[in-house]
Amino acid sequence: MLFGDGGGLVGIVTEPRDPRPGAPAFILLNAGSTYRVGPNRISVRLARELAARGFLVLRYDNSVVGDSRLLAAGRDAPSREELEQEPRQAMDCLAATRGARRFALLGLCSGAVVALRAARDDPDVAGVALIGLPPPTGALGARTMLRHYARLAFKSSFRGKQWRAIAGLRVNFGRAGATLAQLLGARASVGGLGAAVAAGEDLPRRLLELRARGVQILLVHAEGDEGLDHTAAVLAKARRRSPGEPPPDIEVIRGANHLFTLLSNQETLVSRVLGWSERFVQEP
Amino acid sequence: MAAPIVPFHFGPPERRLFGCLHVPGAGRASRGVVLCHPFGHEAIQFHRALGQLALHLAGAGLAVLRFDAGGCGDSAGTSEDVRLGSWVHDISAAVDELLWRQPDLRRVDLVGLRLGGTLACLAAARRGDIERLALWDAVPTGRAHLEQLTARHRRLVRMAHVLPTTDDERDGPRQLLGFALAQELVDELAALDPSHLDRRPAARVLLLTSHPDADPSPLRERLVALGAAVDEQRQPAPALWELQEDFGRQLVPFALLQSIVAWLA
Repeated sequence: MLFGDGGGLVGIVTEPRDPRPGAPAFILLNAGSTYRVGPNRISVRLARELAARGFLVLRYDNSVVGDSRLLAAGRDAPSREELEQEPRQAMDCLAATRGARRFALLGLCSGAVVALRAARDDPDVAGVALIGLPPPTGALGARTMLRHYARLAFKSSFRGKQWRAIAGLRVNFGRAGATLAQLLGARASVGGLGAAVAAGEDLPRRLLELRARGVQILLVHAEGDEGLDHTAAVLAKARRRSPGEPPPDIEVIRGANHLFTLLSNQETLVSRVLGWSERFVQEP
Repeated sequence: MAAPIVPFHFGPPERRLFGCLHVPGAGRASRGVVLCHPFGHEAIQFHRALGQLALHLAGAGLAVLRFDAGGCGDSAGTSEDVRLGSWVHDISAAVDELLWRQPDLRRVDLVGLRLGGTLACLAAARRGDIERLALWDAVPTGRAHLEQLTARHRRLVRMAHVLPTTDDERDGPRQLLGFALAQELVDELAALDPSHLDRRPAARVLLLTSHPDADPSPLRERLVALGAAVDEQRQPAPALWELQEDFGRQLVPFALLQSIVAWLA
């Protein structure tokens, strides 16, 4: 499917063989600069599995990512305006060409931030799946990284592995140096696109606003995510402030890294998304 | 002004392949190029680079087809469906598709990266009508490729925040850097050795190496023995081959891409 201004955005539509009446169409967003197949091609698998359950699915590339508005030189990431406008253009195209009226947005990493923003004021969004929200940048990011490494060392399922690696000097010194630089305030380590979209989000408030509108929310983190430490901290703070109105729970996939590299982690992620998708078809 | 691209599917209904055609902005092309991607995580890591290569080749007046082999990218199937024989067949089908879509083409050349390069070599040898073949860090043997991917996978499991289950630790390289492989593919890779080529794949071959440990000499010797004119370029780019755990970065080696464009155009 070609859509957007001048037809410059490229997407792949996966049609359901037996469409479920009233079910929302899923839109799968780019994870950073990874093109529409997703890390480990997981977006392709998700699209096909969701289509097999009766959902119409579109996975597309934002401008300057993948095959959309390829440029020979100049920009290497979409602008904030493009990231905010293009999900709506995708919805409009599915509405015009396939008759879709309600939508569920699914994003990994920076794609989760894009989904969150796109859902904010859009009454057609019925669900958001936020997978691996990235950590913030700047001083807040540095505090998140401190929490992150403390959790990895003392609380995570990787803790034994971490200590054995340190004892054996099996350490990624480049990564450790970059983290140290970040902690010293030099620069956030989240890659360009993630950093561009992650700053300054008021996550608990946005989630509560969405839930008040009846939007279904799936909030998933890999146990190794840096962003998990930020998400967990801000949601815990929100629970303490307003115990009567708690934000959604985080579903943590144990033993997984941010990319869901291991096949067992991919299986778990897919099953969580498919389980969540059932909520839409159980609605009256 | 970037050349327009045309995405489409082709091939039989049970094995639909995804293609992306880049046509020159002005005039009709008389020459075409099919780009052959690598396998697994490398295909994703180098997607942007191959897209940029296609843009530059189209800018030089060539019609370019990027495509996904079965079980890869946007094509039908899963990574467990990938077999070397069908991949070679898909490369040949992509050449035919480009010739059909661009009837003014007088010839089609091939560019292949990593495993896609080695398989492009086999496809070209089978076809016999490819004049130029550019091999960018083509894998020297399937066994070496498996060993390299396995080593990188083990390094990732050792260094990354992952805790493998017993299923993940099954014997043999059945999952490599996020992708499942069928045992049949593992066996085929173990037997893949382009130095056993028995036909010249193309009149001229470019061996372009950027991997710091690459040694294209066995393939070069075989190609020369088969009568191919071999051009060799070495442009070390170690950063390209570092394992990345970051969605926000995709390296594009422009100097290297320009070398391919200059050689083909």
